[in-house]
Amino acid sequence: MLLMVNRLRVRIPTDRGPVCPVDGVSFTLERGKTLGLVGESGCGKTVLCRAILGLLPKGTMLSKDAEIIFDGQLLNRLPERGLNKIRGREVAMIFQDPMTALNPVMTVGRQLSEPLVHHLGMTAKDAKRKATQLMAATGIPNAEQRARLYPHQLSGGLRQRIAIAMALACEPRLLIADEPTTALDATIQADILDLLSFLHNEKRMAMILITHDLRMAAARTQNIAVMYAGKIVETATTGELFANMRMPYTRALFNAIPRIGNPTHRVLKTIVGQPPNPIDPPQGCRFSPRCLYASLKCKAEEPPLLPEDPLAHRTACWHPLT
Amino acid sequence: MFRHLIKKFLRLLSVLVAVTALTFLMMDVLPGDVAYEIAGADATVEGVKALREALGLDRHIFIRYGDWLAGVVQGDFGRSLLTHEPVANAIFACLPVTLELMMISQILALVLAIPIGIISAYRSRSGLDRAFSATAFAFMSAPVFVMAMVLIYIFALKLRWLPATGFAPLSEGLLANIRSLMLPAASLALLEWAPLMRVLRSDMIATLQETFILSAKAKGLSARKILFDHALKPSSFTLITILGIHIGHLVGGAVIVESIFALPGIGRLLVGAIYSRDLNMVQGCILLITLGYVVVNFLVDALYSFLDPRVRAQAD
Amino acid sequence: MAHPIQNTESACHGPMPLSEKLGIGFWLSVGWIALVFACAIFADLLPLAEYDAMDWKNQASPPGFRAIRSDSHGQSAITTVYVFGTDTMGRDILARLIYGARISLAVGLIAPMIGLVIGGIIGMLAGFYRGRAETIVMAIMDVILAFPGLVLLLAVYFYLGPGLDKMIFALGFLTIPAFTRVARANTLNFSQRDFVTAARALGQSDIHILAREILPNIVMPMIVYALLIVSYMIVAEGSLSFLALGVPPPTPSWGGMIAGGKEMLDEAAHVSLIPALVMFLTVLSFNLIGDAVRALVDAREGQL
Repeated sequence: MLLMVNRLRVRIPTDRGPVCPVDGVSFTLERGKTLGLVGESGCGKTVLCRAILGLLPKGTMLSKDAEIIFDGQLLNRLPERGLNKIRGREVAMIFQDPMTALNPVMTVGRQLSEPLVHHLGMTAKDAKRKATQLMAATGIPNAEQRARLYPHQLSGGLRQRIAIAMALACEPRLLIADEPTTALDATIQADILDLLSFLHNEKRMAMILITHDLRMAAARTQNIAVMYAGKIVETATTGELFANMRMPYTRALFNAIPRIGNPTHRVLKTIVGQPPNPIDPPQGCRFSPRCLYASLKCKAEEPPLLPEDPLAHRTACWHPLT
Repeated sequence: MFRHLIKKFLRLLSVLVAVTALTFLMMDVLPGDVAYEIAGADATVEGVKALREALGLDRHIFIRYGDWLAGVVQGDFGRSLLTHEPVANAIFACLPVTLELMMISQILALVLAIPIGIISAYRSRSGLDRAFSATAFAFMSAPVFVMAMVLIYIFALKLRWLPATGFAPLSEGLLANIRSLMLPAASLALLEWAPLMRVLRSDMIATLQETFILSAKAKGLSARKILFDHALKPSSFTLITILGIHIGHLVGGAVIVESIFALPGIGRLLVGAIYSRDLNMVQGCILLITLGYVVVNFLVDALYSFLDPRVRAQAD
Repeated sequence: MAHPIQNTESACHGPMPLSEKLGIGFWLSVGWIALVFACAIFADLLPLAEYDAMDWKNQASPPGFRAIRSDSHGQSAITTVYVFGTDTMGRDILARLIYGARISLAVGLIAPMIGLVIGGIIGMLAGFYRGRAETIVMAIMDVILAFPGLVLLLAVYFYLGPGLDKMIFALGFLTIPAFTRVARANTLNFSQRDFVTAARALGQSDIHILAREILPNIVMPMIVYALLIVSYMIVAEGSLSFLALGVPPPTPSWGGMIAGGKEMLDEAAHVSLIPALVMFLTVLSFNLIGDAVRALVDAREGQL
């Protein structure tokens, strides 16, 4: 196992009381595999990923018995100094919006060579050469000239390629990609995802691909975990999940995606209602207020994620569909 | 970028002309008779009349302004009424002292403001941050002459580390020169660092919320590297603008500080000219100080757009 | 007002009590300023020595010094206690501080009023009528602002000549551009609001709109700004007096008192440092009050 997350609960104090955007999450990831983390916005995907690298804001608390084990190291007990040896070197991250994720007043070349100098101890000159190579490898034409530009001088697609090159600079063993294409034009989205898949296969690194688009995860992941309101509600291998969607929420999420094959005026089966208020989540199954199949039991008692076997198709639902 | 600068330069020129006009016309616009003021309370009517003619005050104001401006453009600010020395000579003799004083105090202010601003932003809302903020507020409330007196009392009279007054020119050695400017510069710096620090702190807090800081953290960079390499530059643009504006405060402060510490700078020249009612000298000093101030502000503005690639992009 | 307001935030919390919001520093400042005010107003009623009476036998005597001298008949001894000591000319520092407070407060409070009224009117007219006149007015203001403050003050004061009234006028003149800007910005803002458009549609005259619709809305930001300027005025007056360009002697002024003790700073530091402390506390208090009031008004504006 490359990464094991056990009983992770994140508590963030706010003015209106504490919030738990991630509320008891466990999952595993094998070397070289890709896990798709799928859910609506605000379900805790991003917080979960940032928690892995210890990138949450000051004042955030993790549950006492939580474990984030990366390659045998307990990351959540590691001091900042130790974490800094892992961040960018062993585990790298790509952010949603490449405009805001790059420093606007530093040339992209310099930003790209930073991890090389910092982690690999390259000289500035070598790092510069390597940075240009990395840019070229992510499909950026005229890399040498572009390295001297500032982020705002590049298009969104190019910026995200830079961000990818930056994340992969030290050849990490795990890449966390937080909605890497959401902020991009539809035409570029596929290019970037193909690039990620290609590099992922080439470098044989593991990846956590965060997305709200279940179909996007379908083609590019081995495993999928569906999150709802801070909890994982269904997880399975990608093939198994698409063959048997057990949890009504997964099905609803799947149906909410517009498909090219659909007649233009067909009303999308969007999910009724709003995601729950994170300060005061509903009792029982958190999806129950929006679920078509909810019974009294659903509203009273919280369904556990079963079976226990982490490799099985697991569902947290009292009335699974299949 | 170039067109942008030209535009600003034209604006600078118009402000410069307006400043000369205001400096010159002030004495006519404001109530009171300069000649009477200069001649003093016990002057005779004839004496005042003679003085008016000597100063050329009997001619039409626009003719006088035209003559004066033509002289100013050629570097001729007239002669001192007291010593008959050309005003320009006196001013240029004093200029280096004032410039050095302002430079040292600006550096001292930044040396205080930047690290404290960064630490306060990094540890914002902590006890340390609160302590720094309160200190800054207190320092902002100390008038420069109060600060100067306290510094003289502590460092010159009680500790005897530094000279209380007087100026040692560079010819007496760099150390003596800097020692003689240390207390005056510190009086100004202790006043100026606080607003600079507050501006840097609040911009830095905003910057530290940005995603690119998170992405720098995700690269595994140390806090020090993140603060200095990534956060400082994008947080310092307001600071630079403020720096330009604060040169105005520094100039005002320099007038007082030079008088307290008996430094032969422009400020003391101006105050001395006011004491002796030397009209030409007063006018020359005011004009030159203001012109310098306006030009420096222009340069700071240009520097600002040069430093921030985003502004540069907009101007292109 | 113009927009439907959804203010769930404050609805659940309710308004915070004023005392909690302002903090102890604010109330200490108010206390200090009140004390200074009271002393300045009732100076003539207080059992003080004459501020210009010189006790040549007891120059620069330390705080708490008891001076014993015989009365005019040379019989009974009279004891005078110099609470804060005497200055280099043997004058009672306490009395001079209290009479000096009159100057500082008069300058600090009246000068901003001049700027507030003149700048306010100019700014309102400029912001309301716009056009070429506005451009010219604002350009003139920009030129005045292009001068370093103290240098312009020295210039104006030089041409006007010495005297308390002239100093107040010079300082007030200096604040006009800033007040003009504040008034104009606020007028521009409110001129575009619906209630002004409505008043126009009802056929109200311009004067009516300015006085009844706009003025009440810009008064608060103007007063807050004036409050923030008070300490600048006190410092500026102190600076002039310190340079011996302020009110003519023997009228006491804090700046002059601080300068007066400079030559004896080593032997009798209290002559300078006591007025320096009083001045610092007063400026600090005005700054704290101004800051707190601004924060309060900003918070209220933010809620609207």
